Amino acid sequence: MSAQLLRQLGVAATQFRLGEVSMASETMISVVDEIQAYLTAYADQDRAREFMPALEMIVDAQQRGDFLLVADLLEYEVGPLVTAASGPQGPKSA
Amino acid sequence: MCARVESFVEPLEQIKRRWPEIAAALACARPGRTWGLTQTPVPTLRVGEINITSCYDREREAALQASRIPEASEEAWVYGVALGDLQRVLLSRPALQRLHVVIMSRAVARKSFEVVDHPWLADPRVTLHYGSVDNVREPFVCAPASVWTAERDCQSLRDRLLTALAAPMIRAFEARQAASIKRALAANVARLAADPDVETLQGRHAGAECYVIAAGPTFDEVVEWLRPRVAEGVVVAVNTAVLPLLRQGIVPDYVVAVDPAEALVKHFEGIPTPRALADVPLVYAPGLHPRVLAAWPGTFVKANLSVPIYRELCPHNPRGVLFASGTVTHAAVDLGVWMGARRLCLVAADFCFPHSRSHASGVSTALPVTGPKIFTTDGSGRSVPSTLNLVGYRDELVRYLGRVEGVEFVRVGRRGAAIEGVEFVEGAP
Repeated sequence: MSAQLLRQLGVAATQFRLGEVSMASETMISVVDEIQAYLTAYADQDRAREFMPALEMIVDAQQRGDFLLVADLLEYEVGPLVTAASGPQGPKSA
Repeated sequence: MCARVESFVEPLEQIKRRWPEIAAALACARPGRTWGLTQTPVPTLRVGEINITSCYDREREAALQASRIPEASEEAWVYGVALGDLQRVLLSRPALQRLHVVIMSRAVARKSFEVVDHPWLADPRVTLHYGSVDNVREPFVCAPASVWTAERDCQSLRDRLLTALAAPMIRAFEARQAASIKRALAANVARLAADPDVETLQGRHAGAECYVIAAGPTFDEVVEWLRPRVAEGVVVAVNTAVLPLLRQGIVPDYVVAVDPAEALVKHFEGIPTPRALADVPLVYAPGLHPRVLAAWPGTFVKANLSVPIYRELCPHNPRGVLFASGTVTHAAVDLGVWMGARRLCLVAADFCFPHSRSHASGVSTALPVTGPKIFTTDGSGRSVPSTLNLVGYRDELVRYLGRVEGVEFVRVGRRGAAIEGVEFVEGAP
């Protein structure tokens, strides 16, 4: 699931960086679903809390049309959190 | 003559030497927004509320954007200046012989020239453009935040660029619509064989005053103005406006529906006075969902649409073809013209979100105004949020109106998006 989520984060970020906002916004719907499913399935509460500041910043940035910041947050904040959560200790259910 | 900004040095000197008219235009640019460099992993220019590039890895972002241009391309168009990273990456390619850079906002470009160096301006392969390009030239790439912050005079170009970027999504949507239309055409065979054709309405109201009523947010502001006037004119309502009109005690003379989505049925469910509509024709596209047709309490008139899918699937029935390019409002306006209107008044055809609302009060399909927005100007020159789709429909309407002769087009609802060539009725809201 983390590989799929990382792929989706990359797709959305790329679309925002290329100016393809309509497509990126559609992708974001599945990104949000994937993140929710990921946190539910794999992350404990502490880990889920680590995601919250970046996710709140993404919502704010998206609302004001700051889409390159959304791309940055997806790639450089949420992405590493997903990678770390799937790291040496592995996801909680593993 | 405007004052020279002290920090405005080397890049402008370069521009002055090579493109003196652009330098003059830049020197007169008004900032108009808050500016600053971010304190982020990599600093970038912040314009108003948005970053003009990545604030983590500008180089990688520029390389990604440049990948839209084929490596072997000898020419490239870059829309937006940003911080010059994209230009630098493209100019590093030996194959590139001509790089056109289009300024989308003088104020943003000027501030960028103030805060970072732009060595690409000295490259002889570069041509800088401002105000002379109004179309999307290929191959192109956008510095996206510079496009989103386009100044007013460049907004039409901005919309074309965003439409070009959204083309794959638009094609996918059209493919999904095509499947719905095919199913509906099969289900509507008997009705299409029997119902009268919109051709029969040609000239029906020659010389009349026609009100084409949509369900934009300004409906609530104009309805009192409208009420005493509609009795003297012909009222053509789009499907979304039926319930708001009936709640105000106004019965339309014609209703137009073209969207194949089943969800349209919501506009005809719970009609408070269905008997009032018993003699009102629904002018419908042949691919309208059968449930929507079944929910209409009045009579029916079939109409073809000027879109490829209908030309392909049912070129001869219906025979009468109404103009449509994305919105039912187009078809409703063309119906008014088709029936012979002398003067056609657009009502609540807003193409934007005044008061941050998508529709008139009580429209069942009203949506929260979230997601990506672009800004256009309303009838009073104020900036107003809209979407790429809506301004695209507005622009298609403008092009259509330019082809129509002998009809005076006016409108009401000043908080709606400006429509070139359509004046507001004097004294109306």
